[in-house]
This record gives sequence, C-alpha cells and structure tokens, in this order.
Amino acid sequence: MKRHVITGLNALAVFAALILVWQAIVSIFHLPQFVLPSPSEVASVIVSRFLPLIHSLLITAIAAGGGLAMSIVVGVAIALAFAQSPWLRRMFYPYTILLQTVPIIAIAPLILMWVGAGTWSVTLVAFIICLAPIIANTTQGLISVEENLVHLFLMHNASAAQLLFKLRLPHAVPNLFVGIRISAGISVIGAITGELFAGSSRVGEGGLGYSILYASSQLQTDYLFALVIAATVLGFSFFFLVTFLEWQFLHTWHESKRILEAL
Amino acid sequence: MSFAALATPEITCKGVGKQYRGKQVLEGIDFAIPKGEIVSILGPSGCGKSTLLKMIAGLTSVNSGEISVDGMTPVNAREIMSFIFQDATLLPWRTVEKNVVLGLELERASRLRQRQKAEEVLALVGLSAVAKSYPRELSGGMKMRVSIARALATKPRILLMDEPFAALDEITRDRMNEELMRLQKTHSWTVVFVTHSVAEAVFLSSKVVVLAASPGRILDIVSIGLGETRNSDTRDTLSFEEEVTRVSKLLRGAQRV
Repeated sequence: MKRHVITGLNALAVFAALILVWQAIVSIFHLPQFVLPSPSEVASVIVSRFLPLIHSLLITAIAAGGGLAMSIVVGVAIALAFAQSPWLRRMFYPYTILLQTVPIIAIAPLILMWVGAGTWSVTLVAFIICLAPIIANTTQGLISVEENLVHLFLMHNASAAQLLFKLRLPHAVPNLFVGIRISAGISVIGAITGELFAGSSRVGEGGLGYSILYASSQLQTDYLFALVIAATVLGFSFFFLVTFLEWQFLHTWHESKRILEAL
Repeated sequence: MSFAALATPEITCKGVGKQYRGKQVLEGIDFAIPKGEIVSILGPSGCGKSTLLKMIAGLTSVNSGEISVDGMTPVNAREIMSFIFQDATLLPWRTVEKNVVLGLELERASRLRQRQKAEEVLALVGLSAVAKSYPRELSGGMKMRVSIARALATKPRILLMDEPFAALDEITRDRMNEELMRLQKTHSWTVVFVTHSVAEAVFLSSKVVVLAASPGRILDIVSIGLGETRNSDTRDTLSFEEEVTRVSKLLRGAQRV
C-alpha cells in the first residue's frame, strides 16, 4: 500500500515538473498563444468552455463505446464460428488480419460516403478498428483448450453446445478481455479518426475529432490542447473501466488477479 | 482370482493394434480385466500405455483388433466409466463443488442431486471444507482428490486412471494409493491404472500388464501375490520387495529390447 502511494507521488512529481517546464518554455521564448498556449491558459479554457468540451467528449464516448460494444458482440460471434470449424477458420482468418492492417484513415472517407455523416459512420469506423483484436484473441482462447479437458467432456458424452458454452467459452474469457483491453484504447482513436471525416451532420456541433478540426482551423490552440487532454482522459477511462470489469470477472479464479497491482 | 471374476471379464482387448502417422504404436495387445480388480499397465515412456487407456475409453480409435467394455464398444460404455487424467484437469473458473458435479451437470441431473452428490463425494475424499474454494487455492494433492471426487460423482463401475499420481510427491502419492485401495475395496470398481512406477503398480494391482516399447506390445502379465488387504505396512514386507524386484527386472528387459 505504502509502495503504491510512493509510486503515485513520483508520477505526480513528474507531471508537475512537465507543467513547470512547459510554462517556462512559453514565458522564456514569449511564444504566442496560437503556437503554444501556457498551461494556465489551457486550464482556463477548460473551465470557460467546460460544457461544450464535455459535450464533445460524450459524443465521442458514445461512438467509441458503441463501436466497441458492437465489435465485442460481432467479434465473439465470429470467433465462435471459427472455433467450430477449422475449415471456416482457414478460409476467413486471413481477412481478419487484413482488417487489422488496412489503414483506418483510408477507410473512413469511404464509410462517410456510404453511410453519410454523423454518429453512425463514426461508430462504424470505431467498430471496424476494434473488431480484429476481439476476433483474434477470442478465437485463440476458444481453440487453445487442453485436449484432456475436451476428453473429459467427451467421457460424459457432452454435446457440441455443452463443449462450446461450458468449456471453450469460459476458457476464452481471459483472452476476450485481452482483446477488449486493446480495442478499448483504439476505439477512441477510431472514433476520433471517424469524426475528422464524418464528425458532424450539423455545423459547430460534434465529437472531439470534429472539434479538433474546427479548433485548429480557427487557430484556437488553447482549446485544441483542451480537446487533446479530453481525448486522453477518455482513452484512459475506457482502459480503466475495462480493467475493472476484467478484475470483476476474473479475480476469483484467474491469475490475472494481479492486474490492478501491476499497473 | 475367483471363478466369478474369471467368467465375467469387464474389459477385454483382442489383438488390439494402433498405427499413428505410419508408425506401429501398439501391436497384438491381448488381455482381459476381471470385474472388481485393479490392473496396472506398466511400461517405459513411449510404449503406448496412455494410448491404450484412451482406446479403452473410446477417446482414440482402434486400428486393428477389438476392445469391449461390459460387452459394449468403448464409446457406448462411457456411462459406466470415468477417466482420471495425469493432471487434475479441473476447470479453473469453477469452485471445487462445481467442478465435482461437472459430469452430473452435463448429464442434466437436477440441482438437488448435484448438491447432494457433491457433498457425498467430497466427504469421501476428505475435502468438504474446501467445497467453495477455487482450484488455484489448492495444493497438487488436493486438486487430484477433487479430480477423483469428480470421477466418482457419476457412479462409475470402471475407473481408467492415466498416471494420476505421477506429479505428486512420494508421501502424498503413497497415501493416495492407500486411499484408492480402500475406496476400491468398498465400491468394488474395476480399475485400469497406467503408471511408470513399479512400486505403485505392485502395491495396487492384482495383475500388472508389462509393456515393451516400439512397437508397444505385451511383454508379460504378472499376477501379484500380495493378497486382498493391503495397507501402508504392505510396503515393508519381504514379499512386496520381491514382487517389485521381479517386475523391475522384467521392465529392464523391456527397455533393453
């Protein structure tokens, strides 16, 4: 416990030092606000434009969260199908890797064209970027069950459904969470990328990505910083939420009980 | 061996052979296991003894010859058999209690019966106190007991045991042997016990099937003359020593071939 407090204090000290260096650079070089705003200016714009900032954050959070949730449902379904048939796996697995390697920034304009601007296309971009890690990790968990455990189930004449839902799926839950943790981080990146292209169907109103574009076009660099901080906070919150859920699900039986301590 | 036992072999292997990737793993395996006896299959590693056990369980196909269990094919006889693996093969996400009733659950037994049975078999292996614990909280010996309790929950007549105590320390292993012996006496199971430990095989079995390797074949079937009742004192007797020496010599011969 004491060790954790000290680690926390150290991290806080680094943060304070960075802020001080930042403030010093701005003061010494007399940088104009549109090039590099000082920490105090960023802080004050966070306060003065708190409501629109939170509004943008929530829009992005909903799209990122929605995309993530969709990717979990669809990804697990695809992984279950893969686990049932090696044939299906060999046929389609290469395409999930393709899904991961294709640059999302190149797809986003296409999706905007097909789906139209707004939350739906942003959610879809987040969904696409989240899907591959979910499929890959869950499939791995489903098929890496020890042969002896399968034999144990066969000795009790277990049905295919019993094998899947009482053995393979619970076995894959830790892997699924690894996938979700990866996807949670990139879901925010996906949503913001989507918003850069399709962030709003109404002028002046949109998620963090849209607001970042708007603020940079207006040279509102202080607000731009505030938006970047908001995006980081959002990514972190997603990560912590997933880590918490993972702990809730796994701490009774899995060695990853130590996840929280490892942070 | 009584006359009744002779008349009703529970498990018979007739000319059983197995090829795996073009290699002859087992060849001409012939033996019968009478009802209510413990028979060990002993041999050097790679002699196919685990494969043979999995064939009796119907988990691996038989390439030549025939195995019958209580007059049925192995797959059809699964209901009267339980398999105990070398590792405890517990489901880590289930509590001890939930692990023990796995077989009943898969056979869709009622919740009430599952609970009653869990209590009963956990008491039998002396683990009632840890019913709500998770496997990771248990020692190796305790995990193996849970595995045995699970095997007993479905009321099998035949136990197929694949080096179940190989990973345990010697003291725990001896004690588990004694407990198995005691439980087998009261329930008169037929047990097929695969091991590479001569002392274990001699202590437990009425007969030891000694296999030679590549291809796996029967070298000899040794009847162990230690009588019906055996306990920890049995290991200190001269006749136990003699039996161990006799089987060890056979086994050394098997490895030279």
